Amino acid sequence: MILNSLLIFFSLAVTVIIMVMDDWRWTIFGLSMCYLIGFILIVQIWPLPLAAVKLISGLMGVILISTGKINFPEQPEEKRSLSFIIFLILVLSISWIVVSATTQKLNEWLPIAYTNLFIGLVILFAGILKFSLGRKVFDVMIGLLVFLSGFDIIYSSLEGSALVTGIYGLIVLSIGILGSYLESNPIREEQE
Amino acid sequence: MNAPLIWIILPMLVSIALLVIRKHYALATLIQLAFCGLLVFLLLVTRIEEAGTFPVFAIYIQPAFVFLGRSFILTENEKFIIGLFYTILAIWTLILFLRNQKSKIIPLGLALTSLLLAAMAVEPFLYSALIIEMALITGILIAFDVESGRHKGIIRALIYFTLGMPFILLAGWYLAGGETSPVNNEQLVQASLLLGMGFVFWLGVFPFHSWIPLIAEESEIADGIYVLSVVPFSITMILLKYLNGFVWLRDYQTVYNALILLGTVMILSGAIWSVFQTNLKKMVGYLTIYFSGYILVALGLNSSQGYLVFSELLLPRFLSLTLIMTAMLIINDQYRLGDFSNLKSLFYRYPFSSAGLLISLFTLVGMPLTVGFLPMQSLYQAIARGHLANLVIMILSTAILTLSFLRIFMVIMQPVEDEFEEITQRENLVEKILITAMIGINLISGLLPKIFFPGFTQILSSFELLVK
Repeated sequence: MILNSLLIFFSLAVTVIIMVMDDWRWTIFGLSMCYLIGFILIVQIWPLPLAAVKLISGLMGVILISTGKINFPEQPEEKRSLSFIIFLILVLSISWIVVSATTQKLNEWLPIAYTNLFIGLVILFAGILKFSLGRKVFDVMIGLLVFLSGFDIIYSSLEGSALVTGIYGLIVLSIGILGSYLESNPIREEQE
Repeated sequence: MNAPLIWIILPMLVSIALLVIRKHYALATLIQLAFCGLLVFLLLVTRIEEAGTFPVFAIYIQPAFVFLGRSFILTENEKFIIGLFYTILAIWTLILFLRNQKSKIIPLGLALTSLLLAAMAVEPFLYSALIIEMALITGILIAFDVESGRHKGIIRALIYFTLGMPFILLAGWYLAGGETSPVNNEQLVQASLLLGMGFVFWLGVFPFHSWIPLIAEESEIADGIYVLSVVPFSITMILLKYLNGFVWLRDYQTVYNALILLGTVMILSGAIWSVFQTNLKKMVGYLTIYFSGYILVALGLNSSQGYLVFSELLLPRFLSLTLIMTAMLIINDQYRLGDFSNLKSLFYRYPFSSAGLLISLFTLVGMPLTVGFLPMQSLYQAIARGHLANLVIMILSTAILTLSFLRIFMVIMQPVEDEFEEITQRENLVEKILITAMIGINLISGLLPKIFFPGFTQILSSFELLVK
């Protein structure tokens, strides 16, 4: 019970880090924490090796997407205004309210642990907000990975399969590679 | 030896091997071409079934391949679909080889095809959503133009497909019980909604269609059109597999009504946006939306005629997209496709490519004598019986599209302004032969439909429960 409450609180804090922090290193940290939370939740249902595969593939995806940032000179980033940060926190808070209001009802339909469903939805919504509000490729890719990690917490609680774990790992790695690839290929001026 | 090993795993391995030798581009192209030819040839000489049932000598191949506790199954009935995928890839590879055109279809086309086939072959097939996501990422690698670095379209495609995947997976999980035990009405509605949302994202139904024209515009011509040809086709196949696999879903009339509605929306939105386009590449993107709408409407009829029309619509779709791609590749050498006004008097410099371009456009609106005429007429007849409003929308959309094609026709045929200017034709012999052959196949199929169309009905044998 205490662990579950801690995990819920921790997941809320992680989504704030992902959404609000300016520095990409914090965003990467937030994504890694999503995978760690997912691992703690999934290892309670699944065998350790399968849960570990998800964690490791997620962290590998994090490393891959970071390489795009590390290998290229850092662009001076626009400083976010205070009003924008407040807006982000408000939007995030609305998503938490929506999740809190609907989880009970959804739980009747998806027969999984309440904590898993709540945390999965919180992270999933944070991912949607991240990629819909982000303008840069990096933000969109991070948003997609956060979204997938949230959905994975829910889906893994429903269905356990080595094939699904394998393909999910491949998808995460592919998105990481794609993010890094796109980040290292900036848009060039139109030649026409 | 088993079928998935030959037509799924082996092409993936060859694709990876070709990546290594990609610096020798011509060699890689030839190997890919020969390999696709070999795969199609193997389909002709083998039987995918347990040995002993075929009366004459045949090479028997096991249909199943077990991997990580799940099976990939390709059956004898699916041979035509496999053959279609590899034939399309072989034709595109051949065109690229003859034009000495660099493209990421070589070697990633093999990987994309193998993943799309894997998505169709996986059992239980609710996992196909995950493999489609992998296939899309491969498609994105093909469609991404490194030269320009533009990525709006591929990012949107990735977002929409990733958003669609959870819906399909949850619907699959929800319906999985329905394979054996009855599903109540409430469950059926919820599962249908989930499935519907997933396919709306994947098929690019308005308003989630923006990735299609963007990919067509931002990618290299061959790369973008190839991805837009094969990915929506395989998604339609997976939709059919869902309908075929779940008894409660296939007996649920609302699903078919939704297909007709979504198809009509796609036809209308594709046609309207296409009419207002001045960029030829982007217009092709909208035309794929428009034609996918026809395919959905045909499926929505849920009748033997509807399924027959669905199979027949695939031929004009692939033929016209291949012809349009070839013509645009040739024209793009000298003309910029960003604005129709650039195509003024094109016919006098590129007579064959211009004819190919126009014929492929008119094929998509079902002009008489072209290969699109028969299936579209049959569809109009079938839809007129119970969905008059949809028919009116479809015909109006096609009419405005035809008018816009006539406008392109007039621009292309416009006489050269300076009548003393020396005009030289810029197409070489190979290009002329290529375009003539494709126009010939298009017109022969339109004039003599019994030559090619019956072959395409074999697609329906994979969905024997749905097509009664």
